[in-house]
Amino acid sequence: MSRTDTSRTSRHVDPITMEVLSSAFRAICDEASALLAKGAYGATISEGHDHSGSLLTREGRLVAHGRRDQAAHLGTFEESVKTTIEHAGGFREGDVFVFNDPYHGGTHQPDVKVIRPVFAAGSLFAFTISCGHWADVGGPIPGSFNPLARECFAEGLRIPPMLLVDQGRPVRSTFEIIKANVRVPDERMADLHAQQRAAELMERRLLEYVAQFGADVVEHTMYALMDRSETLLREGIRELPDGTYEFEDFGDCDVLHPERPRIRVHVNMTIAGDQVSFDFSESDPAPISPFGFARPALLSSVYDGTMHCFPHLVPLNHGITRSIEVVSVPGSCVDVLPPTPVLGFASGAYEKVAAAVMACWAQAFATVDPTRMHAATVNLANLALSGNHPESGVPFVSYLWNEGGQGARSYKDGNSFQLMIFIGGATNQPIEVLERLNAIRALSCEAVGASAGHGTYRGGFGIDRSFEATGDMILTMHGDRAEVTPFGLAGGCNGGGNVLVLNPGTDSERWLGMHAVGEHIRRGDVLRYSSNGGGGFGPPRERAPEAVAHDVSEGYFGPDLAASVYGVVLTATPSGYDVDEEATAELRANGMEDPPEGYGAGEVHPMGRGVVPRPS
Amino acid sequence: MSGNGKQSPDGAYAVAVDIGGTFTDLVAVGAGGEIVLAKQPSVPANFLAGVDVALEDLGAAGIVDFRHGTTVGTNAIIQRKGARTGLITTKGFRDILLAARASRIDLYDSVWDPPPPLVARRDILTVTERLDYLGRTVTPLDAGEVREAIGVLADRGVEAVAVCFLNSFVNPAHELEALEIIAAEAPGIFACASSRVVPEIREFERMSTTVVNAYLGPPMATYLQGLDHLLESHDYDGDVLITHSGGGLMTSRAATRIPARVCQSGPAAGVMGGLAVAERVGFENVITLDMGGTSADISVIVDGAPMFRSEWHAEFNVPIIFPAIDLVTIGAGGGTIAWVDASGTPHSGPQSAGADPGPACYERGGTEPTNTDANVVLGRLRPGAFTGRRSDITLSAAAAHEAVGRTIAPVLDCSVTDAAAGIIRLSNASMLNAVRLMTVERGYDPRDFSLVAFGGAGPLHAADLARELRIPTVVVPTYPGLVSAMGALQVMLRHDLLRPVFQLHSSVDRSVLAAAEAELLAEIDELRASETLATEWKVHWRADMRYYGQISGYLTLDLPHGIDYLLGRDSLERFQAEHQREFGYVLTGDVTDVEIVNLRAVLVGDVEPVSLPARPAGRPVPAESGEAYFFESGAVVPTAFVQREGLSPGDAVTGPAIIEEWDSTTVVPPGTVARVAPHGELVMEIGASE
Repeated sequence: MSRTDTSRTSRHVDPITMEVLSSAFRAICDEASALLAKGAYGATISEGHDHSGSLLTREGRLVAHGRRDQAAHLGTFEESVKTTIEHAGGFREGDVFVFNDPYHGGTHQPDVKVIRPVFAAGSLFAFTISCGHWADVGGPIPGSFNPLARECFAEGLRIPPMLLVDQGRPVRSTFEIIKANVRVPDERMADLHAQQRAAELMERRLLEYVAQFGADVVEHTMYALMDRSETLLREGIRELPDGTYEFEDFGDCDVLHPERPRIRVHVNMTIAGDQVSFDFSESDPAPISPFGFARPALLSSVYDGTMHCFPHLVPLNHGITRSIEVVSVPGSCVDVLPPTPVLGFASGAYEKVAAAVMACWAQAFATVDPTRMHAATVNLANLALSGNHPESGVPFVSYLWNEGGQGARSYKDGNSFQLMIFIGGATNQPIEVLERLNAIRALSCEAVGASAGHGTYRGGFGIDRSFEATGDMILTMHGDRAEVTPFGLAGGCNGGGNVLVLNPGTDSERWLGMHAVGEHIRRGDVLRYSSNGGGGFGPPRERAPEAVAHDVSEGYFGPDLAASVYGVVLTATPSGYDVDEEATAELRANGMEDPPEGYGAGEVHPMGRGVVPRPS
Repeated sequence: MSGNGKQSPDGAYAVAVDIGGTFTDLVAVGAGGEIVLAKQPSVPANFLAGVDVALEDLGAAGIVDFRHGTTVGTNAIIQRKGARTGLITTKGFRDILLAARASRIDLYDSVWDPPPPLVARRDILTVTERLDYLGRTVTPLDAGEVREAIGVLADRGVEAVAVCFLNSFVNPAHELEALEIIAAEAPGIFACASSRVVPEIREFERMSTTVVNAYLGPPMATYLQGLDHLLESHDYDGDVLITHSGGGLMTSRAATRIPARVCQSGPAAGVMGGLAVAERVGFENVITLDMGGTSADISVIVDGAPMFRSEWHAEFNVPIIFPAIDLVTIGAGGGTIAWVDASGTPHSGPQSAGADPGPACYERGGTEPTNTDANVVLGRLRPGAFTGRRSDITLSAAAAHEAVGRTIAPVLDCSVTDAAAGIIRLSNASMLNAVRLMTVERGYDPRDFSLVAFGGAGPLHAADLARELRIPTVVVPTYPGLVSAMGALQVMLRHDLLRPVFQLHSSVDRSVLAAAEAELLAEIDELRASETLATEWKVHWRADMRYYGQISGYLTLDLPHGIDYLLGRDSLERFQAEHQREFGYVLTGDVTDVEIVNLRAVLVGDVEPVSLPARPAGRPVPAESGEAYFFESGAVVPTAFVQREGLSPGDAVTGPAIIEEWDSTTVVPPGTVARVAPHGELVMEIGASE
C-alpha cells in the first residue's frame, strides 16, 4: 500500500471529460464481455457468464471492468499483468499473451486470460485483458474439477505468460501445446478466439478515445479516477471508529482428511484513521485437498466483500486496491503455494473470506451506517455430470449450479434465488434444456422453506432442484457449506445447508456431501440437490408478526415453523393467514427457546451474534 | 391543437394514433394526400380520453382505416396495474417464475432488489402432471387438481390465469386439457396456455410471456372495447389494427388474444417509420434514434431490414419472447436530469423530470437541470420554440439558467454555458455507448450507417452524436414528433409463429419438419380467416439453428424453398457463413452437429398502404439571427434561426443554424449543410462544408 502513489493527477482534465471517459472505460469493458459471452462456445462463459473484460494502465493498474463480470477474476488482473511484464521483458505492437497460472496472478486453471499490450503512437499505453472460464483445461477429470487433487498437477494445464501472437503472427507452438492438453480442443479454440477478439475490441475502442482526446487526457483521467476512488474510500473509512474487528468462518472439511478439524478462515480488520488492513495470519494452514487460493484470488475476495459494503465506489480500480492492505501467511489456506491445489477455491476459501470481510465491515459500520451490514449468502455447490444421453447416445459433460438465498440486510430480508456473491452476469440453466442434453429429469424447482436463516430480517430461501437420473452417469460434486452454513448476524440464524443426497427416503439413501468424486449414478436414482438459504439478521422473535404471516400465506413454510422459530401464532383465513396477536405475545413472552449457538443451520454464529447495529 | 398543413377535410382519412408515455400523437392522411397532425398530452389515468381529443381534429371527416399503437400494456406492467393473475404449473415447480434466471444487474451490489413478480407466490398453484423432454407422458394430468386450483383462484377473485407446464412446447395436450377445465369451471376468467401463446423451449421465458399475457388480458380487452366504442362515436366500425412489438399490425381481435405482443408497440412502429423515411431518401443501413421526454430508443437496420431479437424485457425479470424489433432504451430524453454525486462527479440520468413537473424551464415545479434546460441555456431551444407543442407552457430562459447555474456550474467551476454544454456531452455519452454496444455486438461499424433522428429531442442531439460516431449523414423526418404514428401507416399485418422441431442437420427427419409445417399452416389458415383485412398474404419460412450443445441463442435463417431447404448442404453452408459473421468462428462437422431448433412461419398480410404525402412546400420565412452554442466552435456564435415550414425541397441550410418547427428542433452545426429532400426530409451531411 502506498499513499504517495497519487502524484499523477488530473488537473488538466475537466470533470465532464473525466465522466465521459469514465463511462467510456466501463462501456468498453461491457462491450468486450458482451462479445465474449456471445462468441464463446463453452456454457461456462456463454451461460454462466464466468468471464471478465478489464482495462489496465501500462504499469498494470486496474482502470475499469464490466458491470456483470466475475468478481473473483478482477482482483487478480494487476498481478497477472505484473507477471506478464516480468516474463516478457518488453512488448511489441501486435503481441498477445495467454496466461492462467493461479499462483502468479490467476484464480484457478480454467480461468484463462488473454492479455494484450496496447500501443499508442508507438509506445506502450495500456493493457486489455479478456478472461473466461474454459469448460476444460485437461487433467484427469472432464471439466478439470478434481476434489481429490493433492497437487495442481492434477488440475489441468498451467500456463505461464506465453506469447500467443507475436507482432500480429500467431505463435503456432503456443496454440499447439494448449490444444494438445485440453478436451475438445476445437471448442476451446473458439473460446480463445472470442477472447482475442474481445481484447482487440477493447484496444480499438480505447485508441478511438486516445485519438479523440489525446493520450495525455485519457491517461490522466485513468489516474484521476483512481485518485477519486481512493479519496472516496478513505473518506468512508475515516468515518468509521478506529479499532480491530474480527471474524471467523469455516470450511466444512479437508476431503482427504475428514477426521481433521474444520478449516478456519480468520480475519482481523484494522481501521486507523483512513487506513484499513485485513490480516489473515490466524487462518489455518492450507489443507491437502483443494479449498484454498493463492494470494491473487485472496485479493479478489477481499475487494469483493469490500465493494459490496461500498457499492457507490463501483467500478473496482487501482485507487481502491492500493488503499487496502492485505496480510497473509504464505502456505496458509488463503495464500497457498504451488503445488497446493486451487481449483475449488470459489466454493472454498473465496466465499468464506468475502463473507468474513463483509462481517468485519458490518461491525465497523454498526454505529455509523447499519444499512451496510449483510449476513452471509449462498455458497457455490458445483455439480458435474457426465455420461451418454440415454436415447441419442451423444456424450455430455454438464455443470449444474444452484441459486440460493442472499444474506439478510440489517433493514430488509435477503432476496431468494440469487447466485453467489462473486457472480455478476451469470444465470441459472433452463430445466427443459438440461433435460434434452443430459440424462436427468427434474423433480423440483421450489424454495426450501426451512433453508432461510431466520431472523428479524430473514435470509433469502435456497432452492430444491432435485432430479432423477434417466441414464447412467458419473457425478462429481465440488462445494461447501453443507455443515458450516451461511452465517447470520446480530442473533439471526445461520441459513440452511447445501445438500446432495442419493435416493433420499429409501433404503439406499446416502449422503454424498459436498466433495463427491466419480460417483456412479444409475438410471432411476434420485438426487436431492438443494442450496443454502442466506443468513438471518437479528433475533427471529423480533420479526414483525405480519412478515411471518406473509411468508406463511405465500406458502414458504407452515404455521408450525412460524410458531416454533418465530413465536408467531397464526390463524387460517380464506386468502392466507392472520396473526393471533394475543397468542403470539404470550408465546413470545413465555414459550420460546432461543436458537442455540453454533455454525450449522438454524444456529446462531457465536461471533456473528455480537455484530449488532449500535446507532450512535 | 394541430400543426401546419391541416386542410379542410372533405373525404375520409386513414388514421394512426400512437399513445406514448408523454404524448398522444395523431396522423391522418386523406385520399387526396391532405394530412392532419395532432399532439396531445397523454392521460395515463384514461388514455382513451387523449385519443378522443385528438380525433376531434378530424372534424366531420370520416375514418376509413384506423391504426393504433399504445403504451397501455407497458404501463400496466411497470405500474403493476394489470389483472390479479394466477398461475397453474407442474407439481414440484412452483418457483420457476420467482427464481427467474437468478441474475443481477451489477456485480457489486447487495442493496439491489429485483422488481416484484407479476403473480404473488400464493397465487401460483401446482397440479400433478409431467411430460418428458420429447413430450411423452410421464404422469397424466390430474383433472381434479386443476378443478380444485381454479376453484381456489376464482374464490380469491383472480381475473386471469396463466397455464404453463414443463415441456408443453413439444406437447400441448396437458395445457389444453387444463384450459378446457378452466373454461368450464370459471368461464369469466381470462385464461391462456404457454403452448398456445409461444411454444418455445425454456420454461421461465415461456412462462413469463404467458403470465404477461394473462396479466394484460383483462385490461387490454377493456381498453380495446373502449376504443371500439369511441370509434363508433366517430362513425367508424371497421377493423382496428394494433401495432405490435414485431413492427407489424394485428387486428384488435388478435391483440385481445395475445396482448403481451402489444407491449413496446410504439417504439417498434417508430423504427418502422424511421426505416420508411430512410428508404425514401435512399439509405438502407440506418441507426434510428427516437429521443423523447424521458428516454431514447435506439435501433439498427441493415440492408433495409430491421433487426429482431427473440427475447426482450418489459422490465428486469419480465422477458417476453415474441420476435421483437431489436431496440435499446436508455435514460436519455429531454427531461433527463443532470446531477452531482457526493464526490462532486457530474452525471446525467437515468432519472427524468418527465412531463410533470418537467424541466426547470417549464416553471411547473421542476428545479433540477435537464437536457431541455441545457439546450435552452445554449440557445438551441428558444422560448418561442415550444409554444406550438404545448400552448400552456412558455420556456423560461431565466429558470433554465438558474437551474444549471445553481447545481452544475459551481461543481465544474465554469460558466453556465459551459456547464450546459457539459450536460449535453454527458447525455450524449450514454447514447454513444448504447449505439456502440448495439453495433459492436452485431459486428457492425457505426460509420457505415446513417442516423435517422426523431422524437422531440432527437434532432437536437443528432448532429453531435453523428460527429462523435463518425456517421456521415443525419436524416430528420418530415414530422419528427410523429414518426411512430407515421410508422403505423407503413407496416403490414404480421404474425410470427413457431413450432419446435429439434432435428440434427446430419439426420433430419423430413416427416417431423412436415408435421410442424402442417401445424403452422393450419394456424395460418385460422389467422387468415379472422384477420380479414389483408388483400394478399405471404408466408416466409425460417429456421432457428445452432451447434448441438449450445444452450441459448441461435441463428435464424430464411428458408428460400421452405422446409426442403433444410435437407440440403446449402443450408448448412449458409449457417456456417452466418455463424462466422455473427460469432467470429465456425466448428467443423466432425466436431459437432448443427441442430435445427424451431421452424418459424412469418405471416405477412398486405393491407392497403397509406403513402405519406410530401411535406408541403413552404412559403419562405426570413431567417432570424441570434446566437447559440456549438461544440465545433466551443462557444456561443452568431446563428441563423430558420423556420422549417418555410423550407422547400432543394433548399439548403448551412450551419451554424437552428431549424425550428412545431414539434422539434434541429441543430445544424458549423460546417454542416442540411438539405431538404424531395419529400421534405432534412438530410444533413456532417462536416460537408468544412
